[in-house]
Amino acid sequence: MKEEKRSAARSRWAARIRGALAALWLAAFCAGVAFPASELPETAPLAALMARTQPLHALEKALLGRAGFAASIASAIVAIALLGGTLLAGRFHCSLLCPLGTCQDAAARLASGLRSPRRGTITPRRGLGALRTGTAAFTLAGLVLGLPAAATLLEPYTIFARGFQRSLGDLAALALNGLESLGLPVPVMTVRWEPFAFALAVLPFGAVLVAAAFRSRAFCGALCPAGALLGAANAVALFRVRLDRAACVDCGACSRVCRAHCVNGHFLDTSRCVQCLDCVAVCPTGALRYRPPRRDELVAPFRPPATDPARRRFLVDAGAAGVGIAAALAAPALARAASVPLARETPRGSSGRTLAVPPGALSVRRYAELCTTCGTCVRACPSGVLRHSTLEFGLASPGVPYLDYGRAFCQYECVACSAACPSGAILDREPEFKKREAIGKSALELSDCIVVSKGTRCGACAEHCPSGAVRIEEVAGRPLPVPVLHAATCIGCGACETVCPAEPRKAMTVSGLAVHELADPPRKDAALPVGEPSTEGFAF
Amino acid sequence: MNRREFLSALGRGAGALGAAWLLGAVPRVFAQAPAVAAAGTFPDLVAVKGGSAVSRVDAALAAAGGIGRFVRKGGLVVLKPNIGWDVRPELAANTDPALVKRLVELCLAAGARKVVVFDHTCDPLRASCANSGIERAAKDGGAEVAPAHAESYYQAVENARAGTLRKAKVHELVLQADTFINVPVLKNHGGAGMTAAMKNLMGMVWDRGAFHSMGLDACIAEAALFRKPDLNIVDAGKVMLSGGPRGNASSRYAEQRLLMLSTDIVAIDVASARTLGPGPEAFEYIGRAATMGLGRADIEKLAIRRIEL
Repeated sequence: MKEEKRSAARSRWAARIRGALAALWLAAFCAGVAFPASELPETAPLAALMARTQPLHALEKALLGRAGFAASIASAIVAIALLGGTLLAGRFHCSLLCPLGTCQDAAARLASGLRSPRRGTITPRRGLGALRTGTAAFTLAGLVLGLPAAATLLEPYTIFARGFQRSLGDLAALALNGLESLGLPVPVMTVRWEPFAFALAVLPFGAVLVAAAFRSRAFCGALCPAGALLGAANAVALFRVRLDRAACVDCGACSRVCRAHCVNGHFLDTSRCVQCLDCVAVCPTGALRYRPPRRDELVAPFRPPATDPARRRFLVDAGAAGVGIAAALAAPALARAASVPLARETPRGSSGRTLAVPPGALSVRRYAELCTTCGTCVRACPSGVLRHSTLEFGLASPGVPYLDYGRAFCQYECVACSAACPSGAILDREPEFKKREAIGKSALELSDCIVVSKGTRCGACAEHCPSGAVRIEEVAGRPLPVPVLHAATCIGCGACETVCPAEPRKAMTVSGLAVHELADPPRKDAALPVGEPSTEGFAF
Repeated sequence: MNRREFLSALGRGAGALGAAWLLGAVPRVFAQAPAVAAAGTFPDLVAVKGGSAVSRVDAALAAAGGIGRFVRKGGLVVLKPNIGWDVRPELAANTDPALVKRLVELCLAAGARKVVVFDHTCDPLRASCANSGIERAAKDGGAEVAPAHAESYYQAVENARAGTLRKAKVHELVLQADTFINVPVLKNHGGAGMTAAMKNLMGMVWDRGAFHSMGLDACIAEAALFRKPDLNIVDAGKVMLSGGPRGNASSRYAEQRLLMLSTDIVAIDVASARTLGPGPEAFEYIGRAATMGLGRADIEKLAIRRIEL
């Protein structure tokens, strides 16, 4: 009896520590994604690091990203650690490391008036297993086939990071701006209203949280593709919560606290259990324990059962997975038949020019096939040039970020987006290599240039051009020096377009390249018109 | 001033003299000093060659009567270096951080209540402040680095004497400052030809881009009418000769190891233009500013103190 009490006390502490660690981890995530780096650069490395702990993105970068050996290995190590860890210690990721999971717990707790996450007994429902398997199969097959739209809507880190920043992060920014206007010494934050990006961010996040308010981990058990993978591993995990039916007294305590709605005294759905340990902490008889299998449990799976619910479940799951994969395979043909554009290799902006995608993307196609639009790059971008698109890249890649040169331009020395991207859609780039990757090309329309149209000196484009592709030069027949473009050196960073003061049409415009090119190295400067000044003595 | 303050000031003065002597500045300073100093006036322009950024500014200020001539006790000092670009200090597209740090220390030692450093940067503010090294240097010296990347920090000001730039939004710090010190770096500039003292003031204005469409030379000259700096210190340590203002991989440089100091924003730009090479005639805004009476372009007639360290 004494031993049991001690064990129960241990379980309670374990559950509390898990809850505290999950809350800390979520707080760190929130701090990392709340404000973009253009406003608060200190948090960008934290956000990038945390994005790397998410299983689907790690798998994507390791297997699909063609990310290069070192980056693939690093991501593979994360993926193996998460999957192998689950095989060893159960599906702990979802109750410890997943920010969306802990957000759902918080929403459920708030909804139940700061009491335990949920009251009233439930029967663990098994029917959702087929939905989850089918959805996960569709999502994962979509990623493999280059149709990331399902992951865009369902990958949990993506839902959290985009949703949190656009809702609570932006609200915090607005609050800071309010305080600043009252004269308090707080920084001014830029908050941008982009309806599509807002909807793409806030609707999935809000839907998951509302569902959580009613059935705490409904999303994790019914729709989450990462949860489906980890749940499958959980079923054969060495250590996990296990139910000893013989010791159960049917008190119902476990089903009252279970956040995944997966346990009562008769049944524990291992595919949905997130190892939060709450049931273990409240079980009065020790029927529920976090432990390895006993000898008799080990051989049980190999004994042919009298009636066979397990086999039926397997067949249903296999069928659902088949449907999911078939749907993903059939999607391109269906889209063609309905003439809906799934993917566009030359996405066009409102100006009619091709949109540019970040250095490290290699090509629009490769990039749009891999990006889940988690927005980690958008938040990491110090200049704010990266923004979410709407449907310009096609239905399969809604919201994929592009460079908006009407707003800002890509910083020459910066590789923040490639350091941030967790999925491998933007590859790791050395600054020296990035400075040669042409993501677009400038075009110069001299008749729109204010030097010609207004007869005033200007040179804003050449001032900002980092590669020396635009120069201000004396040209025969022009009374004032005019910009001269040397396109082979241009990397399409957009600086010239952003700063060009000509109205209504800019004289310098940049079109993105569908396939990135290697630009010429910066040109050697011409000899100085007045020669080198002396460095001896004083010139005056 | 009570006895303790007097003794303490005496000690500080002796310490500064000792330091200057150790740096080798004293003999030359005194060798050239008497005529002007005795009359109780100061040179119109001080130029210091050689040494380090720190010893140059120390020697220049010593010749100009000390920082105490410009900074009053308990006053707010605003430094406007060039922090325009998100590049490393070696590229010399921004003011030398060592110079900024030294100026901050000197202003605080002279009794300034607060020293604030700011620039309306061309590249993103936070990246420019960090990678230029100026944020670190200013904070190490004891200054605040103020934000300048939102319109709410700027106030609309009318410019009655201007023909072109009749109104603009000017950073509130410039309008509040008891002492406004302009600390540009000298370099080539694609649009304006040269960046020195006057061009640097473009970074105290919010709607800076409009300068280009309204007429760059007129706007640069007239911007100084909003608030004339109390002191201009031009950093010409490493001078970018081509590819400016940002600089690029093939930019050319001249190691001038020069610092200029003047209250006359036109005179210091004339001296800067000669140092850069083309001379003041090449830059229309210098002539315009002189015509408006912002300062004197005929520097041959001014008292120039030349110091070699």
